[in-house]
Order: sequence, then C-alpha cells, then structure tokens
Amino acid sequence: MMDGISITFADGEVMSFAPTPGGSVLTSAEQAGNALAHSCREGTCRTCVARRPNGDEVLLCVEPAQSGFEAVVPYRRADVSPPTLRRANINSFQKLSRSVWEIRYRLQFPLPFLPGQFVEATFPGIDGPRRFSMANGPAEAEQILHVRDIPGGAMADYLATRAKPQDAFTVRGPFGIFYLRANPKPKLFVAGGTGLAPIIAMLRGIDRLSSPPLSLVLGFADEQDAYGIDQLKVLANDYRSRS
Amino acid sequence: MTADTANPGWSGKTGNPVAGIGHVTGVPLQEGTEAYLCGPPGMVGAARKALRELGLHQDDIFNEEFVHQTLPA
Repeated sequence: MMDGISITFADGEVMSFAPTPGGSVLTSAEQAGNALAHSCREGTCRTCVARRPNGDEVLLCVEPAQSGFEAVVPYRRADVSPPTLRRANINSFQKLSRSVWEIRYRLQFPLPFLPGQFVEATFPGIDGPRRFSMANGPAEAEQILHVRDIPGGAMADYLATRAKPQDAFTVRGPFGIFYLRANPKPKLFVAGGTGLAPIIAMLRGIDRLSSPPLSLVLGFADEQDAYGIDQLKVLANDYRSRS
Repeated sequence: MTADTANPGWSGKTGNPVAGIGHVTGVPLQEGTEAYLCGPPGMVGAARKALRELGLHQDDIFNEEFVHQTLPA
C-alpha cells in the first residue's frame, strides 16, 4: 500500500503527498504546495469531485486525509490555476428573457480562464459571493454573466432596483473543472436555463483548427424563459462557414 | 431547443431537454463523443444517465450543476 495520498490526473500524471492529520485530501495537497480544483470547501459545489479505484465518487474538500488514499480527477494538472481576486465595473445590464439577466463588465486586470469555468462574484450590498460562469470567450475583453431572475432573490433585487453602469464589484476565480477539452472528439452540449452561459463560452472558445462536430440541446421551463437563440444561430453559422 | 410549456407560435420542441437528446443528428450518440451538461441537478443527472445508456464513456461526460445558493461569506 502507498504511504501517502495519490491523485492521478486525466492525462495520467500522478501527484503524491502526505496526509495532514485532521485535514482533508484538499488541504493536505495544499499543505504540500499542490493545487487541486475546488471552490466551496464544504462539500456542496462538486468542483473537487474525484473517483476512487472502486468507482465511488468522493469530494476531496471533505474527504478525510488518510494514508493509502487513491483517486482519479477528470482534469489535467496544468489546467488548474490558483484563483485570484479582481476588481470589476459594470458596463451594462439588461433582461434577456422573463427569467434571465445579462451583466456585461470589464476587469481592472485580465483574469485568464478556460471556457466553461466560473467566478465567485460579490456585488454591492449582497452578502457573500455568488457563482457565475462566464458567457464570453476567454480572449474577449468584455466579460458576460447570465443571472437567473429569482423572484425575491438578492441578485434580482439588486439588478431591478439598485444596479447602475460603473458599479464596482469583485470577482474571484477561475474555478471549475467544467471546461472545454481541446480535442477533435464530437461534442454534444446539453443546457437548461442559465446553464447555457458556460456552453456559450465553450462555443466561442472552441479550437478553430480541430473543428469537431457539435450539437446543442437547449431547454427552458417555458418559452418566455428562452434566451440566447439569435446569438447561437450566429455562432452556428460562423462555425459552419469555417469548418 | 425545447420548452416544458409553450404557445403554438413556439418554433422549438415542447418537452424536456433530455428527451431532446434523442433528436440529435449532428454528432454520433455513441462512445467516442463527448458530452457537456449544465443546468439544474435533475436535468444533468437524467442526461448523464441517458448518455451512458447510449454508450458514451463516463470520462467523456462533463457536467456542472447549477445550484442557486449563497456562498459562505
């Protein structure tokens, strides 16, 4: 049996480190100076999901560190960037459908991310950060978030009553292992509601050289909630014309 | 494009997106195709199950579940 903890990445690279007494697999990795994908640190967001040799899924942020622990994570080591904090200012915001807001903003300094990843955003007067996936391509200066309009929700209240262009807020990221894998495999995207946001980032950031076949299935609770259709048609035409 | 409920003018299908997977013709629904699923946990779980039954490899299915909640400050 292995002495320490062993994490295998999607490309076969293996990371080994010692368990920290009383710590989790995640904190043990960090103690040893290693980075693993994570966000919430409380076992809810599933960013840190890994698979044991027996096929069981575990969340590394809450998994107690024990010698001999082995698991596989679904990303490459090089795809994990340590999150950084950035100041941001709103450019504009608008309702895209009955239940979806769009926020466009700019960053004081760039925040590189892989298409599909998310940030924790903290807006004025709202306690605690919220998670939103970028809906823009990684190379674009203007950042875009899609916010579900939850009646009575803090974000909905902010956008409907207090928000104005130039409002300052902060984003921390990037987070997440839901990012586009750069390979020529055919890709099926399935999105529900504002789940479309990271999919749009992927479609905007897709490798122009490999041009894999793509299909998108998109669902909404009601036709009044639907959004993004015109933009998707433009993206589809653009993709067809170059592949 | 699907909606659970829609008026007659709706140009998409009516039903949930998981049922819509069966109408896909642009990519082969079999091993070798990758899938990216994002939305409410129920939709993501049902889509993953359907795609596994069609033969997609578990390591080729990526998902993000949208759980609307406040993070600890």
